[in-house]
Amino acid sequence: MISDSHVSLNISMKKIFLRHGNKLIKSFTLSLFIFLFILPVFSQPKRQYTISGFVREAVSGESLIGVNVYLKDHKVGTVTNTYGFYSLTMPSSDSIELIISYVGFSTETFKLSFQKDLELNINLKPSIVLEEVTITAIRKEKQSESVKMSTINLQPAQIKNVPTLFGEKDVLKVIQLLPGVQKGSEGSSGLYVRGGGPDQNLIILDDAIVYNANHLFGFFSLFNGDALKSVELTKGGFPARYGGRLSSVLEMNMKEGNKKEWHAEGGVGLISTRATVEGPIIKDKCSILLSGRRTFADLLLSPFLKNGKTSYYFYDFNAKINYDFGRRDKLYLSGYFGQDKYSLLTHTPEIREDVGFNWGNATGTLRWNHLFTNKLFSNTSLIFSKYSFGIYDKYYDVHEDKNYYAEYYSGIRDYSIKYDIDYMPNPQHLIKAGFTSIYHQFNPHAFVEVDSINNNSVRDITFTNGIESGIYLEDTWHPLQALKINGGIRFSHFVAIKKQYHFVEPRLSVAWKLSNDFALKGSYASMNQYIHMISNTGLSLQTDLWVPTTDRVKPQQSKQVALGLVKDFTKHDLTFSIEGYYKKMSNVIGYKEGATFLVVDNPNLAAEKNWEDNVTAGKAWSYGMEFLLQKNEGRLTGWIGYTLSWTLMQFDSVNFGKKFYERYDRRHDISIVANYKLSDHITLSGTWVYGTGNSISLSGSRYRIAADIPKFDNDSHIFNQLGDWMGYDFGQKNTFRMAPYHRLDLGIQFHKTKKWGERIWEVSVYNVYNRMNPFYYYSTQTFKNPDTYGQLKQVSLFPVIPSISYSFKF
Amino acid sequence: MIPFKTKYFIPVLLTLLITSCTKDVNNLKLPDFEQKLVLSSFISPNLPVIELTVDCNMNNFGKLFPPEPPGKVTILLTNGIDEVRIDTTLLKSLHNKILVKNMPVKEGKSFKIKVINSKGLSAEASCAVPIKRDFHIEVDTTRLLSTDPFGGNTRSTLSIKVSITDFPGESNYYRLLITTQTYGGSELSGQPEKGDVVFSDKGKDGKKFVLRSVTFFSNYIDSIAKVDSSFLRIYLLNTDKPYYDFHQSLLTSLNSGDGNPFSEPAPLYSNVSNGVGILASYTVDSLIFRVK
Repeated sequence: MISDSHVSLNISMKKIFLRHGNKLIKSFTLSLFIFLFILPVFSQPKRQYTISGFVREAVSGESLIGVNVYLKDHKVGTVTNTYGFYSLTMPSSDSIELIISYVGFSTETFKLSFQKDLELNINLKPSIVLEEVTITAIRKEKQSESVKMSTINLQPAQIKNVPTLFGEKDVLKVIQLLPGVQKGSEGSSGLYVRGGGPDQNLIILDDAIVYNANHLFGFFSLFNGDALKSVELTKGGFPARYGGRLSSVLEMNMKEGNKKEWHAEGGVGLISTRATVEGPIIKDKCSILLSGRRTFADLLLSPFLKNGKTSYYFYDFNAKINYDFGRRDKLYLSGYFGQDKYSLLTHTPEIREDVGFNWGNATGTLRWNHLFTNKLFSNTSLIFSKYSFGIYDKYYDVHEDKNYYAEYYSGIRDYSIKYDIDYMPNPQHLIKAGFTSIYHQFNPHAFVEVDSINNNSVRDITFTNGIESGIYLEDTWHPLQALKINGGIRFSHFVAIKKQYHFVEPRLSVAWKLSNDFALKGSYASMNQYIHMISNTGLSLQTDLWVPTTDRVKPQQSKQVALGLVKDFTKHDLTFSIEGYYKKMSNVIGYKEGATFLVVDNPNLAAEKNWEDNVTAGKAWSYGMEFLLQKNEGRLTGWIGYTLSWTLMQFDSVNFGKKFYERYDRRHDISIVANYKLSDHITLSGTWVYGTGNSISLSGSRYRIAADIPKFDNDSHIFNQLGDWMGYDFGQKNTFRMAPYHRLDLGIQFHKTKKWGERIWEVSVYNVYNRMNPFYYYSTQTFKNPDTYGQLKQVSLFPVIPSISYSFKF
Repeated sequence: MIPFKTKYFIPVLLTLLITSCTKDVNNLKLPDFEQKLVLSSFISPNLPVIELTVDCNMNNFGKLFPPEPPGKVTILLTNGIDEVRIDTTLLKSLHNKILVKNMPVKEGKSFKIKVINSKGLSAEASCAVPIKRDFHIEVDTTRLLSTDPFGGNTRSTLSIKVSITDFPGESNYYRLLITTQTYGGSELSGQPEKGDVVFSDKGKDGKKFVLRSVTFFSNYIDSIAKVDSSFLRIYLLNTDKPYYDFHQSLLTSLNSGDGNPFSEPAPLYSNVSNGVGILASYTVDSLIFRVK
């Protein structure tokens, strides 16, 4: 076995030479496969036992993800997987000391005799923050010990403390405050991760892909924080189990529901009201969680609107039920359903008309956990995901007694199967393998018109299908005390209408501990993306279309390397990380100059437009440095993030083939997030953000120019007639910088424990110093006698906005 | 009914209007205005004269003045063999048109225009005149007679399908024009659909391909007679790439945006160095076809 410290192994037949005594590894000539699978088998000692089990929250029975499970004497450990399972296989010992630690929970220590396989299920109790002002030497999980890089975990509790627009707690808005992640326009929930577009993020809720994560035209995300258990963002160093997107993976898991007793929480804000109920159907065996949210402005305004009625609302609903068949088998069924609807009703003596938008997501996931042995864990998922967007117009002519109905819609529907196994043969290896296959059904556009007024009927519906599959193998290998490696390979495959694509995607992350609490990390990831989002507006609105790779539009590809340093300051519970990254993307989808997909203008024309004609493929480069100082425990928690980055693009048919800065290329991006627990009853919070202005094209001059309109006389002689057109001289694309964006938000929460539970009043102020940040610019001309002036105008969205909300839980 | 475009943008507009505010931008350095000469000319061996316009551009911000006249200019034209120099004074703010009669445009040769004015501005452009080719233009017509449901008149629809054979081994760019010549009546003319105004042989090198059909309508009997006894004149312009790029960018520019401030801007193609504008060329292949 390659032991934890002094390694001296020589298998001359295989030409493997490892000498760690003098810190020198001479050569490797065997493949990674031999190392990962053959070597562990050769190196098994005679008597080994396994300690395994599930780690759960004591109060609710909720399984905990990423809990650090550490054997102090052997200096080896592991973390719980997505379902709270852990397994450690070690040589037998008279006594072992097992330490279980997790941020926000009291550390548990167990002294056990280890002469046989053990099953140890652990219930962790939440820690009380005020009692942890003095940080003890208790061993918490440290980022310097994890092989993961470019990955950030957020606790839902952290998200709930951050002040936001209109007081609506929003996962994506908090994600936007992390280094390497940029928001698009003011208020938008779109994520731009390390120079990638919003379609390059794989957003997963309980294994189901969420295609459009926005409510209210992008101002709010559709994730209800009350229903979430974990949020993890990966920006680089992607493990092989992830695939299908170039820039990030945002994985969220819903709570399972309290297995011990019934609880409820909810709240009322300026925009919406929400409620969550969870509890056991069969204690410790079967639990359920139901969580819903709805805007209420339409209900309040409804009585005051008569002939004309404008209505907008959104709602979302999360549900999860799970059943524990025992140690070996567990079943989870979860789902999300959300919808936004806008309608304009017009009722007059002559007409009745209902015009509107609606869009929404629906997901459903059935998961079956099965434990084959105490070292081999599996999960099988059957997943459904759907996103649809529609425009409709219902018109009734009262006098003619005739109807008109038109509907335009687009969307995507997925049916997936996913199988994953976790194999933990010994503490040096955590092997994950699996496959996924997704049947995509795209509906780029459909137009249906039934016009009884003009006796006209149109039914034009287009469907396109694709099958996206992936198979992966990865190993988190801990060959030396100071070295951790996550190596893996993914084979991805896509069946398009006329063509098939397949690629091998190697992945590697390495963490080298330079000293206690200080690690050097590096990673490489190759990614492919087979589906693309065509944006109508550049705003990540609901009118964006999801389309597949075709024979003409190739898969987007990226290769990313990252190098970083992580230092944990245990005494102050601080973590500092610095990462540099370089990402090259090819076959990136761009829009031909002047292209528009605003299908809402005329659905008839939209049906004729082929989106493939309006897009162009190019290259993109993104590189930069990210700094993050985090504090996760104590009275004061939060982080300071800074990103220095560059993002360039190049398309043959854009900017005359020259490179240009991407619209959201942001040289400097700073975010400061702080929460301070003043007392048991009062929590203060604040965020400040700064970002370099967006890059746009702005014309400084214009000119009249002739265009050729050839004409012919009766004798067939050609003559020129020059048309007169206005041209704008933009120079190079995206060379004008908008004004920088900065904003301060503050909030205060008042907690009070009542007989029935706890209530929280929160007062927050968005954009405290009323910074008028630019949303977009436009040029205009004004006439001031006797002259005309050209002026650039700025449109800003949100001034200072105070808000108040009330929350409760019992 | 509310127009489609307006009513579907209402929610977005409402959202913006409720919360947005507009102000002048005074704290940013706007793009500098650089005065340039604007040159445009489309030349062909088939044209009797060379026509070119020389103007100046104008600023977009601050006090807006009409474009300055180019003033005293020297224009140098070269067709690869001959050179012509024109010294003139252009005093109009716009549409300073110059006709050059004594400079033949030769197919297969490069053509260059350089303009210098007394203020030191200059603009220079060149193009390669395409060689005249025979593209084997073929025409297929279909005539459909029907009764107008509203007026009861007999209506004639004449559909014309034009095929050409691309010249192999070179990139070709085209523009198609079709007219009918009638006897004793006014001329009817038709353009192919918008997407076919300018097009290329990309992916069709050397192949015969059918262009979209063009349809002429006639609602009256006397017009039908004229159409039936008329000639179709088909002109296929074999253009250079700048001609194609410029007109493509012009079409894109005209159709871009739809009022969306986030749409990608569509700059006009320019092949004029130091200044802006276009110098492009073409030759013409034609076919006269008697409608049966």
